[in-house]
Amino acid sequence: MITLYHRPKSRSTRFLWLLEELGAPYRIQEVTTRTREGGAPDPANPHPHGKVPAISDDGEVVWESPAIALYLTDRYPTAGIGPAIGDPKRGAYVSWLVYYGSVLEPALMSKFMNTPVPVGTAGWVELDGVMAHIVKTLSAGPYLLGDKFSAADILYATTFAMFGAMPIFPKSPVIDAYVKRCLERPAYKRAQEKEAA
Amino acid sequence: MITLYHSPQTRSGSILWLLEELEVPYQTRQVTFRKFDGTGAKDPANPHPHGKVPALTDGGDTLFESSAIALYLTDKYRKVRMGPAAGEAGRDAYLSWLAYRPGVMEPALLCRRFGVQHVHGAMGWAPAEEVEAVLNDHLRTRKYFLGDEFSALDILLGGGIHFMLVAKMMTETPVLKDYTARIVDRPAFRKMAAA
Repeated sequence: MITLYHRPKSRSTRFLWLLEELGAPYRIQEVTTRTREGGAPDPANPHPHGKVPAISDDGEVVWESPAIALYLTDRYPTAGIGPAIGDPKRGAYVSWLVYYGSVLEPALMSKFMNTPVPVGTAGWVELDGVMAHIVKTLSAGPYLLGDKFSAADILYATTFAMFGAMPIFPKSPVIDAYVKRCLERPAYKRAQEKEAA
Repeated sequence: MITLYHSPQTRSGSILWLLEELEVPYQTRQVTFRKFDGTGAKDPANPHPHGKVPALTDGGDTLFESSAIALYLTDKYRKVRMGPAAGEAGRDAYLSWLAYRPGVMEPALLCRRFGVQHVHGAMGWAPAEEVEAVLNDHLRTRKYFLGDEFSALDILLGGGIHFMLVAKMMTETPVLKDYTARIVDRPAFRKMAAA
């Protein structure tokens, strides 16, 4: 049985969605984390920095969103939302999963903190360049991997849903349509209900 | 045939080191990229979306981002084992640490170097001092990231720690000094360093 270490309305909320998509049995353990308003890490949370998300699965412990997404889609392949090893889309799948944590997130924070990106030193680039690449991919899409929805879309669509309304975020009808398309999925609605319960 | 898009003395060195450890045939293609000092330009031949290195092509597959490339290669080429396969013990730690390097370790250390204040709850990473504490705690009781088994983690995270210590972006401790001495004492590392 999978345990999701979760704080409502945080980066772990999207994993309720993924678990609903996979039809995997799971339980939610709500934990506290440090936020701008204060708060402390919960000793029950196995994440090395007391952050969310983290999961445990009969003794296996996985943390960091790209790692959890890959672990879960490999573990529950029948849902068909994560190309398996050997699939022609596997390379793109793992690249987009890693790019979320290594490029999109830091690029958003650089913009948010209004600090220039040390190009050539940092592993990421300016947000405008990141979004241009994503918009180009989704214009051909309609999903990151082409015609098929994957767990990578869960990471990106929830990020855009969260940050899309902020003034720092470049406006794009392609992104708006993508978020709407992804969030219309029944599993997303079930996850919202679970979180509200 | 695998093609690694590479530039010497950059992050693509890790993948060159990994390919040497895996003993798989590959070719490198040297590309230019945008540097911090304003010199350099993207090479149109490089398939990376931002013209960065590393990128890698393998048959019809195109990959970018070091951790993605490492995972792809260690899952596909298993003549030499460089990481636990899906379903094997240690896969949880393997995936988590692979994501930790670019998602936590690098941004945390770069933010400290560039004086960016940490904001809890907003940033996907942790303060640099905490990252250093987690790495030291983990490696204090282990020979390698996964314990006794050398893996691609020691190339990606270990190689990164080695670089950060040399660049004085991380605090040198006996634990990290001993660990990096252990991982660079390998023929594949020397081959990469000489390339």
